[in-house]
Amino acid sequence: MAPLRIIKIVLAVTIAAFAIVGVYLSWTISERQKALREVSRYDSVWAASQALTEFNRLAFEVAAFTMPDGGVSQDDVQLRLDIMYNRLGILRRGDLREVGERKPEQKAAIDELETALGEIQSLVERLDQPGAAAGVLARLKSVGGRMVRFAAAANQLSGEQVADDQQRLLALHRTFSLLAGGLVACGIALIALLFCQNRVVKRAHRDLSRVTDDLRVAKEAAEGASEAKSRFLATMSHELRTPLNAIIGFSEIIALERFGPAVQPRYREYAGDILKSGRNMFELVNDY
Amino acid sequence: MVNSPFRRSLAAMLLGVLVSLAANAAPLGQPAERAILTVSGKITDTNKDGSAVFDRAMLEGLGMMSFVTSTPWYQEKVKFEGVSLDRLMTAVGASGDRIVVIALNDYSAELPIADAKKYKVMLALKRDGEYMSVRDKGPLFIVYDFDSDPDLRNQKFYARSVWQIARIEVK
Repeated sequence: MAPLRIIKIVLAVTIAAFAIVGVYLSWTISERQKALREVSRYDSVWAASQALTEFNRLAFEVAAFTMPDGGVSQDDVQLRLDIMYNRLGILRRGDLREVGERKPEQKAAIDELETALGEIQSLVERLDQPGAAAGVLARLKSVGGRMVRFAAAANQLSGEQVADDQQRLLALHRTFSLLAGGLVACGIALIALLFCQNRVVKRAHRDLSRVTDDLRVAKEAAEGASEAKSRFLATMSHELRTPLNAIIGFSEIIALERFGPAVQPRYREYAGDILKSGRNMFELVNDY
Repeated sequence: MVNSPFRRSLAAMLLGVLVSLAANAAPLGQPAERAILTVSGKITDTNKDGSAVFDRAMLEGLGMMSFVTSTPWYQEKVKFEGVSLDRLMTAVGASGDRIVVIALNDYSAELPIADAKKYKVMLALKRDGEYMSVRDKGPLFIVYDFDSDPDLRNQKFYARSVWQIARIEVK
């Protein structure tokens, strides 16, 4: 197989590889963009730990309510309780739901909080009655520890998610680097192939030039020979014409008996033959 | 100099402008029912002791907007209806460059006022057609249209989404 053909095949393969690597690289870049967007996740740890803060403030508010100069009304306590109910909704739904889904004991903790809040609501409605406030505080105390553990579980889950995100990003970056390297390698291969092809073409061109030169020399030689032949023939025809004229002229005179009848009729016949032959030869010579 | 018609119409025009400017000074009115929002700080339109106090009807009177978006707080997409932050800032004549939003539980977040013009953001009153009670992030909840722009879907803007809003201070 001619070297040029080999180069063409290798070139086609390299270009195809280049295109495939390029497409894969674009896909990797878009995946990286997606992964980067997820780096700043919703901070569920903050949301879970706020449950404890609101929990404690409800307890303080209830305690302050029991003191004669606490400055806290039943409405204030109800507000704290409503805020706690909102927090329950946050812990149950959306991104924080995953904590409960992963660990059943955390889901159970949330269920217990809901039950406790229900009991506390009915106590808050008659908060001014003896024992109601104490009942609220006791109920809160029983649930408090589980709230801390829920927040800790949320924290742990968040840490794992961040680590996973980081791993994914690093993997994508590795792929990206490999592909970029591959692209560079393809580029180098293409350049090398171009050089090879160039060299082969140059060699072919050199060979072609040589053949052309040989042909030109041969052509000139042939032309020269042909010219020489023509010149020779031209000269020869001129050299032949002169005696032919004599042959034709004189044989005509004899055949036509210009200067009197021929002594022998046979010589007249012979002269006629000579004239005919001479005229034939003249025709031939005239072609040149 | 003679009182030409040109001078008269010019005077009328100036008077009209002054009247309309004066009219803009107190278009807020007073809250009829319980106040749910107090705006204070660098504002020009007030209705009570240098603050602008709103009840639900007054806020709704500013003009409502709505959008449907996904959030980190609910599994499904949610429809929010409320007052656009831009409208509220214009109504109180806010002249500062940032606002501090404070919630009933004392959570607070600082927002650049530019967010009101740059993004779709509202003080939501209703979620899926229902007024939000305190137990459901009400009475007011700052929500961005997270689905409208991928730049919004990160903790920077989630932290700005204050619920159970009580006060806004313009700085």
